[in-house]
Amino acid sequence: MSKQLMSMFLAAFVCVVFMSHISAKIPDDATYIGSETCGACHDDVAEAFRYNVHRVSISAWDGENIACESCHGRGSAHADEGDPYLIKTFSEEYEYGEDNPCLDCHEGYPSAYLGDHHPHIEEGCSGCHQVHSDTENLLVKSEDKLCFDCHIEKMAEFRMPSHHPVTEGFMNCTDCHAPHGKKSVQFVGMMSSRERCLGCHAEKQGPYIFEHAPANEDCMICHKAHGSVADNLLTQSEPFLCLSCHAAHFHSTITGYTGSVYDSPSPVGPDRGGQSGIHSFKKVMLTKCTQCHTQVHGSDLPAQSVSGQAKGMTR
Amino acid sequence: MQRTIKTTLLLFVMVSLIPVSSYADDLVEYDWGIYLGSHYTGSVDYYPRAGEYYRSNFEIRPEVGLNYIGTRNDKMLKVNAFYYDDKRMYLNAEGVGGDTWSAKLSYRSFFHRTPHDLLENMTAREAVDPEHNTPGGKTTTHQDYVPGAQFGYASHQVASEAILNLIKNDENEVKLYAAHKSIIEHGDKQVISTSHCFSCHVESHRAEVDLYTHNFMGGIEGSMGPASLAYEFGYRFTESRVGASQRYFDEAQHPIQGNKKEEFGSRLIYDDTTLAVEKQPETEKYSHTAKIKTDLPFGALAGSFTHARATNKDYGLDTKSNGGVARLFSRLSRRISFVGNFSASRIKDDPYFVDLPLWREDRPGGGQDFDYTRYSSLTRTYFSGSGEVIYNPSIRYRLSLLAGYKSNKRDDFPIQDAEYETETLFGQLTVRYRPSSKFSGSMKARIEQTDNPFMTVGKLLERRMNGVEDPITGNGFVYYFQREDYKYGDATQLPTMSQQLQFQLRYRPARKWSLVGGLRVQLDKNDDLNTIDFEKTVLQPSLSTTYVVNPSWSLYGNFTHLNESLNAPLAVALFDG
Repeated sequence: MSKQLMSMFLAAFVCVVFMSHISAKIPDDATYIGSETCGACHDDVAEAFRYNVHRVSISAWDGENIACESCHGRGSAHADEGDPYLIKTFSEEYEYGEDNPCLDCHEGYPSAYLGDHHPHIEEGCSGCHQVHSDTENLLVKSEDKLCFDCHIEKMAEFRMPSHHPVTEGFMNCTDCHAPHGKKSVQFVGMMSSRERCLGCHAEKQGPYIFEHAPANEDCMICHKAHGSVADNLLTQSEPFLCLSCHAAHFHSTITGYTGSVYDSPSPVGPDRGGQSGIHSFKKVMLTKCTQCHTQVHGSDLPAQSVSGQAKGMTR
Repeated sequence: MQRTIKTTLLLFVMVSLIPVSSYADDLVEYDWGIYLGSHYTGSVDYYPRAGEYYRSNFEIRPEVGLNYIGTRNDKMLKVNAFYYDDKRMYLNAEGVGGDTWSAKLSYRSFFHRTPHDLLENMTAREAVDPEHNTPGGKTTTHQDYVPGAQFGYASHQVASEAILNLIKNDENEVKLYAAHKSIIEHGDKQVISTSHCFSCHVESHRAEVDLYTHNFMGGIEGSMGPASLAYEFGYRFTESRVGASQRYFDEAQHPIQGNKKEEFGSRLIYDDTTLAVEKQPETEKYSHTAKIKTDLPFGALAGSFTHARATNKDYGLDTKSNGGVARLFSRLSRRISFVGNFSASRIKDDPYFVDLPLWREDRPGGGQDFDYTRYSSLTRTYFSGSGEVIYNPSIRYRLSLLAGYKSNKRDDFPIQDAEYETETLFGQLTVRYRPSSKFSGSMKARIEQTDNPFMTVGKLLERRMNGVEDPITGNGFVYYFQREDYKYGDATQLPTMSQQLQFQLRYRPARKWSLVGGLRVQLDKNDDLNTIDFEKTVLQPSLSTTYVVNPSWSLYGNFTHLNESLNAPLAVALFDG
């Protein structure tokens, strides 16, 4: 029984290996027939290809109407016989690092060799791009939907109350991410995730005289990049986020007076109204730290207190 | 501001028309389309963040889109545009001139609603009797000078990119490239400021937003055979074209008695004065980057080195950084490849001497000097290295094993146990399997172990204060700053151990129909704290389906549930702390 199984396994393995090495064989005497001839049968592809950047670029190279055959090879034998093995076709699956015909021209993408993002390695470029189409960047879907296909957890985050406006169409995933690895065109010093945020939020760059160390360390300590249930893309709502590193202000333990804030003996300041209660200081001190500590990303303007070394409540 | 935007748009349209005019005589292929539609978002209560990027007015407005594409031999122009109102629109144009040049221009805008804090929790007065019937001196008051205001700004982004191929043939290529991106934010926002002497008083005002952020870069890249070299220059600056908001800070005095000005005022750097609040400094940043890439007999090697300097122009503070990255791809055999990544960088921030007046000068027990030099927490040295082995036994399978090390040594910012260095070891296993064109699946498992993650040291929890151990000479009071010495708790929400597991299965029962199911599990833990253990769990199942009716129409549905829970240290002061 085990021998039979082994034999079947070996036979199947040989078949798979054999089939995987069947490839197109274009006769040496085949000639170019022109894209119009190709379009006579492949009209749907030809229609989409009319406005394709590849057709434009290829026309620049040879000035002849052989855009299809630049990639698929000389087509006369295939046109005569109709045999798909007489023309060069491209599987949707490429083996890692080789046999990817796109890289013949697009060798400039470093991760094609150096591997940053998997789809073009796993599924070939056609996992994301439809090479015959006229869509934006030849993508098979709009950019956000394409990325969400695999990164569905990010789609969930973009549905949260606070989020970057990707689903609204005002931002793209590629504003922050480089799916092919580092592109040749990128802006200053994007060596860290912090720098990626500062590309748009540069007003928070500093350096500041009075720093908040987590803001120097990594924006993601306090923020989520895609979306959050807490306001301002915070990882948690205030005050809990702040209280996870800092002790609560001890004034929250003060027992509140029951009555008007301006009751006698009246404060020196103007009457601004308002009622105080037993727990009023807890409401003041344990609701939202940034009502007083407004400059959480850093500031150059000192707080009032000398003993706080001017850094406790910068303005 | 509006003039700047209009000028930019006009320039944009003119530049876009250049390629059109160049082949207007011989336009052989073109297509265009226009669509009309509408969308509506509304909220019925005071909660503007529900429609953060919309105005939430009760209105239905038309929206218009336009698409154009035209080609002539080796030239192409694509334009697509969308208009909803003057704060929400976009325009993209792309031109290709054969192998010689290509250019992109884009403009987009959206409206971002920002919150309005009503400050209603900021009202309190101290009670000095157990029955809460006798008011004391400590008070908190607030005043919103713009009640009912809705804040927000329109964000306009203009970007361009151009590539010019000077030489392009089978062996050599030399190209120039340049890009630009400007973000202009124009609108208003809420500015909250606090004066905490004589009464703790919080005020809310409206402030204009007119913020400009400009990014420029340019470079030259040359390829000779298997090797290429490039140099790139970048420059970024920000400026606000409106002055900072001003705030009057009260004269220090006892909040009830209206006296003791010397006692209260001597603890302050400023009082009874009007000063700027919420002023961000004007900043700029330069960078110079050199890049190299070359094919090797067994793979490829790429590397870059960057020198950058960021400056706070208001105070002349600099952050200088130097760093490099290198990547090596090596094909060990036909089925096995290796990818190595290395990076190192050094960041140095200028120190700053903070000169303060003497504390309680000429008061009993006063005269202490709190001056200090601020050494930046940003000054540090990074290093990271990783190696990934990728095994492709067939086109149906892919396995990869990644392992790496990262370190981050801060010069002046101590973390746990007086350590300055965070070290991380990580490993990741990825398996992908595609038995047929109908099924595919993937699994990713990752583990990270970190020594001394970034944390706040000694800011949580206080020891009991049965008398100050080191009282100020000549003074019997305990001052707030003295309590800092009694805090001891360390806290962070960064794990020492992180484990992630992710699965995804795809099934395509028909050529036009696909189903995708996935599950993500993550467990983060830090049990090295002297407070309580930090623990975070994430569980997220998901399911989606797509049916492509025809090339123009597709139906898409998805479900995902994200459950994230966190146990973390959190200290609320009780009694004496």
